[in-house]
Amino acid sequence: MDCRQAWNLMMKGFDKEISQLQEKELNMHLDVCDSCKTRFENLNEAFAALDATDIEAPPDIEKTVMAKLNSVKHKRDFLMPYVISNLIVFVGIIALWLDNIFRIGIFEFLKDAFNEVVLAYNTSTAVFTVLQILVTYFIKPVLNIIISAGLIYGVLSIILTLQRMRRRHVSVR
Amino acid sequence: MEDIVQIRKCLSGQKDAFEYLVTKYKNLVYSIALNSLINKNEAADVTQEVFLKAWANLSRYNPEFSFKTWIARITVNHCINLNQKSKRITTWDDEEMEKIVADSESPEEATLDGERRKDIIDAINSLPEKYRIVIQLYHQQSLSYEEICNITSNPMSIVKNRIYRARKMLAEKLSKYSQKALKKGEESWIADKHGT
Repeated sequence: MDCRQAWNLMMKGFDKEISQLQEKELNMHLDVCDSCKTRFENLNEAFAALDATDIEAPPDIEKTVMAKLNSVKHKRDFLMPYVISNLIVFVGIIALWLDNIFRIGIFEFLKDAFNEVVLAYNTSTAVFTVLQILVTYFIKPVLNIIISAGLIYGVLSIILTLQRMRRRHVSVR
Repeated sequence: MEDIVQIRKCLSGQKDAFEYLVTKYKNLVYSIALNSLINKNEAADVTQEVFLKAWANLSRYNPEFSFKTWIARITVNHCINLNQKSKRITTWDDEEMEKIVADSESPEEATLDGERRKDIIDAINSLPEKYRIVIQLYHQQSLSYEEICNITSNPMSIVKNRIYRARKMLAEKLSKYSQKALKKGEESWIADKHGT
């Protein structure tokens, strides 16, 4: 047995995975190799010291923690239901878009969408001419912001859900 | 199983049930904190913070894993964050490490092996934090590889590799100290001989 094999057996020994035969072989090597013997004894000593450690927390920990509990509330995953419902709507919209695009082609889809928007604006202009200024300077920008925010929120929801799935058991950092 | 019962009680509003968990795991949390941070006061503060954090996040606890692993994980992450924030290089509390080594020996041996004790402290101190944590969890807290994987969020291969490397570094350090001690012994023997 060479020193590398002896080292591997030492590791097995520290992991308590060494067989009797392997232990015997290791001891035979240690009897003739001073360098391995020193390494083994040093590590044994250090781990025995660590194992024998009995570090005790200050006795008043319970008292302090229990006194402070009232000021701490359980965190709930209250956003999760909103995230899930938002995800469903977001995925639904995307699916509908994709379905339309695949059915009628991207150019036809864009043309339809453009026409619908124009029609919607025309109708609203015809009916609410007085509100034209409001529509231009308030409703349209707000709608744009809402749509953009919705899309960003949807993407963030997906990222958040994927992250949660990835670290399912890692709830606290 | 008892832990789960107490956790359910806590979640149903019985705050007193949490005391059971604090009593049961305070030494583990304090010990990990003490080994990661600089001093006892800071470790005691962290122990409190960790339990309060655990209380706040109790509804997120996954019973698939043991509470011991969960609380140890919160502690390790909390300490790593603290160390990163303050960008400090931590060393073990000397007084506590003296105790670690002294616990296993008689007073006579303790006096004789003062140097040796210091070597062990220095060698463990010199390990980088990520190696020191796994060595401590394995050899001091007697946690399994699997538990360490859950605590450190590392795969088994990394945990095994870190423990292996940590042992190797420790062995090398201690061997160097042994050689130095031998040399020192020889020198003092020669000095004595020349003196007499």
